[in-house]
Amino acid sequence: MGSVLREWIGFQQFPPATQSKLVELFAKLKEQGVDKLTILVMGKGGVGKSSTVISLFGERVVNISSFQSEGFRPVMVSRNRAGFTLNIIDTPGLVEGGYVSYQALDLIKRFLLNKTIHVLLYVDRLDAYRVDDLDKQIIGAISDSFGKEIWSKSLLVLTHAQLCPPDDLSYDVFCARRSEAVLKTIRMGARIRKRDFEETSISDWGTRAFRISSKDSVIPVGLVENSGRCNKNENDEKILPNGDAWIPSLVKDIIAVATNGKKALLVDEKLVNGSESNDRGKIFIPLILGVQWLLVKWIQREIKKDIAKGGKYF
Amino acid sequence: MRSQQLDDPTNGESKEHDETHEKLKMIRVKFLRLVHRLGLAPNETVVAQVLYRLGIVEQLRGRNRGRIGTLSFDPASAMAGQLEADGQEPLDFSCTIMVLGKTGVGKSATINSIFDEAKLPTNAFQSGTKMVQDVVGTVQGIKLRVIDTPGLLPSGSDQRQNEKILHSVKNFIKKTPPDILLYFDRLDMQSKDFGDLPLLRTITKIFGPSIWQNAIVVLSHAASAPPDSPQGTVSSYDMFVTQRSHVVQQTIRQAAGDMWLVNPVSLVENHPACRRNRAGYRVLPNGQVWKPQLLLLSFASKILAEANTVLKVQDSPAKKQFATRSRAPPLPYLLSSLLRSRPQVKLPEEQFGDEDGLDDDLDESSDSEDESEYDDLPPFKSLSKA
Repeated sequence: MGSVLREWIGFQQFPPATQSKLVELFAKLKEQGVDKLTILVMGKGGVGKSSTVISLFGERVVNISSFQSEGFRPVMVSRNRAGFTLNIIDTPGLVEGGYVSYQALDLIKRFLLNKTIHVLLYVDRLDAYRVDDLDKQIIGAISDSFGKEIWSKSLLVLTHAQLCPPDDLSYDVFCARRSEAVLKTIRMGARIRKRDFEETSISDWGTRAFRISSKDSVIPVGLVENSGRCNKNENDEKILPNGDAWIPSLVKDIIAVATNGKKALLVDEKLVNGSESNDRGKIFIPLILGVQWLLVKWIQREIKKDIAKGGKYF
Repeated sequence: MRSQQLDDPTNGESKEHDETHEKLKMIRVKFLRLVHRLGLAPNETVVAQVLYRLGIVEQLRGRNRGRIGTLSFDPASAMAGQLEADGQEPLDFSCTIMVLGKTGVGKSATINSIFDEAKLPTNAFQSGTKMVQDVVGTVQGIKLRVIDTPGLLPSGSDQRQNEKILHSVKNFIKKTPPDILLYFDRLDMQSKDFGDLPLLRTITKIFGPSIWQNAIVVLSHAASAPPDSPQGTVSSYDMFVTQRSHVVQQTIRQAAGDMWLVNPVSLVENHPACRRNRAGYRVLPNGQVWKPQLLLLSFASKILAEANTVLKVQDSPAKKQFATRSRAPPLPYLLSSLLRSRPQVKLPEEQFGDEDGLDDDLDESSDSEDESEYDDLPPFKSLSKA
């Protein structure tokens, strides 16, 4: 796109322990010949998309509006470090006035024209206690806009992860059940068949991923805490209530999805204009017209023949 | 109080006025006893404002002078103190509260907190309350009946289901209408772009816009820390509460179609890990003990409604006589000017200002004629129609 590659200064803001883990992860990527990673972040408004982008870069790269969304446009933040480029695309919330905003989706699609998305981060809050039809609609709209395949390159990110669970539930159980609820909504909203998306029991929570059968497509779940109040461990890394340093974990999961062998999403003209479904079967129109015309002609001939035969009609 | 009686021109009515005056005094005593039971001081803002309100109501309705004389409540306060100390006379006060709000915001949990026991089931992942039900109990010897309703859905396309739920609620409350509505939302979830408007519109559609004139906004999860400000520092808790309250109040204004509505806001925190004070009450980050404040706001509404009824009874025969009284400015506009200098107090004043509207769907008494003309003041109406 002709943008100047900016140096990833924010990387130095991370504590040394995090920095070394990230360096290792990016090095592995480079070994596989990947020197660029493009991440798309989407979700409802107010869930923490922009905050997550800021946390990942370690610098204030986008604006956060806590109380009203300024109807902002998608923005891509690119940073370069040691020959590796990280692109993260922050998008406006997909809900407006209680309904899915197709306008926002359209804006996003147009912005993404000719870009290749390696990973989608679908963001929601860990501390929301319900999933409803609106969530399903949002996911359906994402599927319709980008194709169902996007879900095999996606991660579920749950923010506000530093919480004290209600009702005397343990942190792990709460996270598992909340993730389960949202993943079920993703499955239903994207109309993915159940066997492509088996849910697992709570005992698999340790891997923070929900594996399925032979198809091996996974939607991992990443937990995130973006506020300054996030607890830190002895290495000064931001940690979750379960002791996990979440920034390196999240980056690791992102990279795992990026290199999972599934095709990355190229946003081309066809996808943006949504012409795929409109064009389907267009070629048959002249054919059908031709057949109709012939049929009419044949009927007319038969009628004439009948008249010529004569005969009485009673 | 003696001086007011001397002002009265006709001696014939003075007996009636005395009776009303006495009844109002008993209402004041009752209110002060409630305040005492809730563990609040009589010089607390809300209490002082309600007492002031009672005084003004009496002045404007009960007399044909618009004068606001000095009102001394020492006799009432002394009497209240005495009755409470004696502990003999039972408090003749009960209140019915109805809760409404989205699913998962903490309605049932708050009711459990009010009664200090788990009377209602809650669920962190799906709707806990499936049907309308009422819970009866006593708090500090005050009879309380709370109507718990199933959670409503915020999404625009789910409003049909909300209508069904609200119709069942409406049927339930037909026999015993509530005195006050608590509209619940979460302090820590900002719904941007008036996302809750479809839901609030549905409530307005089923119950009528006047329901909002008798509603308190309750924000749960009030012990949440405020979000980081754009500069990366932590913003103040009070600012956070103000901004969040403003959004909810503004959305209610839109739904009710009344741009002058200011619903009082109460904070609530139900998490067991919430900080408690020495007396064992849950305390918010700003040091406030939330339960008595919430109950006080709820009871204040009922007290003012009772005062209203008492004065109405006295009104009817005297209607013809006090032609000048009917020209007195309506309460909301009079008191809103008094409140302009105290921006941080969002109070029953603004809400009860439309006291005439207190007699709405929820209460069964009807509006009297001269109140309706106040509703039609042109400058204010046109703004809301915009």
